[in-house]
Amino acid sequence: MTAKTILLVEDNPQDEMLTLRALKKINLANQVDVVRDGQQALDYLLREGEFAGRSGPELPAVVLLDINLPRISGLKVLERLRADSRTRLLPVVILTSSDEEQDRFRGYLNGANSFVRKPVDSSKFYETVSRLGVYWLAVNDPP
Amino acid sequence: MNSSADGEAKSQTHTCLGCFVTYAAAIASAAAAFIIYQALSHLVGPGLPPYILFYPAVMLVALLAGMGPGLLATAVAEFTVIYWILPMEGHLAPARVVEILGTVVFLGMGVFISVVAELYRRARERAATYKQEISLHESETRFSSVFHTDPIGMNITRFADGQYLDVNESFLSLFGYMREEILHHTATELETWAAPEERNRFIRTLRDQGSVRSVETRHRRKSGEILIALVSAELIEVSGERCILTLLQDITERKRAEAMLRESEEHFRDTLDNMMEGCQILGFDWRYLYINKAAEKHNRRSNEELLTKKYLDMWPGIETTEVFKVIQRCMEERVTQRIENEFVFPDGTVGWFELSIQPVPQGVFILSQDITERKRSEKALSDSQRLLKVILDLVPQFIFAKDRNSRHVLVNLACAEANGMKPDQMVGLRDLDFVRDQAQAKSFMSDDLEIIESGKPKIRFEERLTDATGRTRILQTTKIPFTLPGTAQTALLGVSVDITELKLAEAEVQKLNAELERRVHERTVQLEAANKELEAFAYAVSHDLRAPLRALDGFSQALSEDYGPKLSGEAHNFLDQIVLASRHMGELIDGLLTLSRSTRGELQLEEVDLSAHAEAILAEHAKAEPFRRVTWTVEPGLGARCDSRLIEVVLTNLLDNAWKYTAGTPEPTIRFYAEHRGNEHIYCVADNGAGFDMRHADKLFQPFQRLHRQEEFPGIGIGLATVQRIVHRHGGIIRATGTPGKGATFSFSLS
Repeated sequence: MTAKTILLVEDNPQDEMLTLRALKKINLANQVDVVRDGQQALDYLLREGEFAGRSGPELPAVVLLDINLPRISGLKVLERLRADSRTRLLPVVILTSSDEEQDRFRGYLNGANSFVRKPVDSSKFYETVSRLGVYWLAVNDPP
Repeated sequence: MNSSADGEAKSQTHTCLGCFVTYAAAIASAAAAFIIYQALSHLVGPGLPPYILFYPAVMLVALLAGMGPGLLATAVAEFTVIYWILPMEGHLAPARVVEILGTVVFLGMGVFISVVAELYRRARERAATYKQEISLHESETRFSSVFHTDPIGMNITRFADGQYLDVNESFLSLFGYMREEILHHTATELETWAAPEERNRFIRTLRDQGSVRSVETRHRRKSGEILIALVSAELIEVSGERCILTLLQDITERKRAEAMLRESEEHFRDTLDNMMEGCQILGFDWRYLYINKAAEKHNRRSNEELLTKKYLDMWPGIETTEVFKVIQRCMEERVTQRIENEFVFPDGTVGWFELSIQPVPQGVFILSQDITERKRSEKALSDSQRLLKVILDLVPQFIFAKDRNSRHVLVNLACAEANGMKPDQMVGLRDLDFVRDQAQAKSFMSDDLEIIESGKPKIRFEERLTDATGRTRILQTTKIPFTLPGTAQTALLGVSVDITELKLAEAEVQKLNAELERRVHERTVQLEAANKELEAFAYAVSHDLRAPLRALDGFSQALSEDYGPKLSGEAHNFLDQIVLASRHMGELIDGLLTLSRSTRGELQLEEVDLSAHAEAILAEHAKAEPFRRVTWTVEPGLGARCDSRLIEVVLTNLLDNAWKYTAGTPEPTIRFYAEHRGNEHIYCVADNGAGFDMRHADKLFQPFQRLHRQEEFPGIGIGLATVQRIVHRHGGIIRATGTPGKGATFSFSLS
């Protein structure tokens, strides 16, 4: 069976590092792919552009999507994903440091499966990320 | 009637006495003649014829007394001559032939004279009797003709039984009877007397006085009609019977006329008495002859006080007044006078009377009318007219009235001045005559015409007038049709308000408004832009500032975890400090964000269950710190209309504080309740924790101000500022009271 992967869409290198470290703690680090902006995310998921010839499983088990991304914003990416039949059911967790009401609302509206705020407190951050990883890769049954 | 019998006796006695007197007189006259003769003869001497005096004496006696006394006088004279006169001459008897002749002649003459005298007397008597008889007959005839032709009714009735013996034509026609119907009937039978007592009285008077003169009596005609007559009657004798001759003058008509006159006089008198105007009559002697009720009122004196008194006596001091002079003029010159008189009464009060003084036969007639009220109203009217004029001229608006032909009949000062004239100059002129701009004048006049003809007013319309100085004014005019006082003519009343200034002001205001709108619009745009900036900023803050914090925190942690054993205690300490600092910064950012958010955005008002929120918050705290035993009471059912999210912030802040500051209290209690003051709700969060010094209370709600040291109670000091801002946005106020060591209470209202 193909190993489940996580796609991390994160433009902030520090956050990226911390997220990976957290996932490493629960031994999920090897199954994480990282893209750094919205366009890359789309390309990866739809196997277009940059990632046209991507190998690996068709789709990740979950996408950890930030909202504030260069090129194409997270919400826009989500929109596109949900518009495409290939990625309509793809579980997407919005992982963002924004606690704007608007973003959460728009996130769900655009079809996010979950909305999680990145806590400033790193220990909480690690906890959150671990939980996310465990849940989406172990507990949840993908579509 | 007894008089004739008595008369007879009397005449008999008279006759006897008469005879005696006449014969005595005869003797006396002879004696007198003798004495005179004696006297004469003494004077003249002898030679006087003896019978010279006796002739006249005898003639006299015979003529006067008749034959008898004449003969006696002759005899006595003869005797006297023979026995007295002749002897004196010397001899006793008539001796001489002359003497004897004289004697015989005298005797003869004496007898002759007596007889002739007697014959003469008898003849005269007969003539007299004849004349008497003729005249009696004549008078009887005359009487009869009078009786029968006299317009006055006459009747002769027998005294004894009242039977009608004769009646004249007038009587018959008065009573309406025929002769046969009356004659030989009695008055009582025929009931010709209307009242028997009158007849009885009439008879009694006749009996007592022999006649009745002009007595008013009532009779009954044959027809039953009552006749009023003036009756005179006389007792007469007819054919030896005692009768009554009655004369009746029909005064029925006269009586009726009199009664009517009296009635009408009474009526007039009544009218006069009751007239509204005062009527007084002063006699030529200036005495009050008549005063009617109204005059009594005008004079404020009663009839009894004034009647018969003199005018000047009743009103001392009046002779100096005009009114007296006027009455006097009428009294003397007999010319009607009129005067309006202001009369001061003795008690000092004043009345106005209009007097009309006319000459009348008795003196003067004064008609008085109390015009006090009229005068008072006239004065009041003229006062109010004056006031009106003053007001009209005081008023800055133009007030004017024009007649049908658009000629001004009334103009106030303001209107006239605007047209460069005085009010009286403008009266009579039309707008065409003085308004500079002919087009304007034509427009005014055509408006006037339309309003007068249609009868519809034109209210608050604008028009232009170029005034006397050449300035164009904008007027707001109202013109209404109305009737000129004192005529039935329709005219026009107008009021114009000079709104030139107003218009300018309006234009100005509009300009300013437009300017204001523009500025507001500008500002709004600016504000919106600013808001947007702020939002972007807040967003940036929330997002971009947190990320580095996370990194700070995360890598410090990572360091500590992954390289922990290789680090010294101090190194760990340093790392802890880094973490603490970054966490602190995170809280600050959160606080700032919350603060900024609390002032942005519109309040979304809804009914919020405050009690539920409070319970939830406290429950969270309890769950987070299960080791702390805090007693809390939340008044149930507290709700308010507010923004749910923002109130959440408020309650969270206040309850968090309460929780925090009771950390060191042995038996901590937190209460959330509401107080009612009037129709305001005051929500309170009270604790028995550390409290605070009221002296520094003003710092409480300022951002970043703390009243406790960080080690005592951690915190960033921004919460209360936010709470205050939220409460203020809801239009409420927040207050804090506290006592160090005892506790604090925060109370807020939401509207």
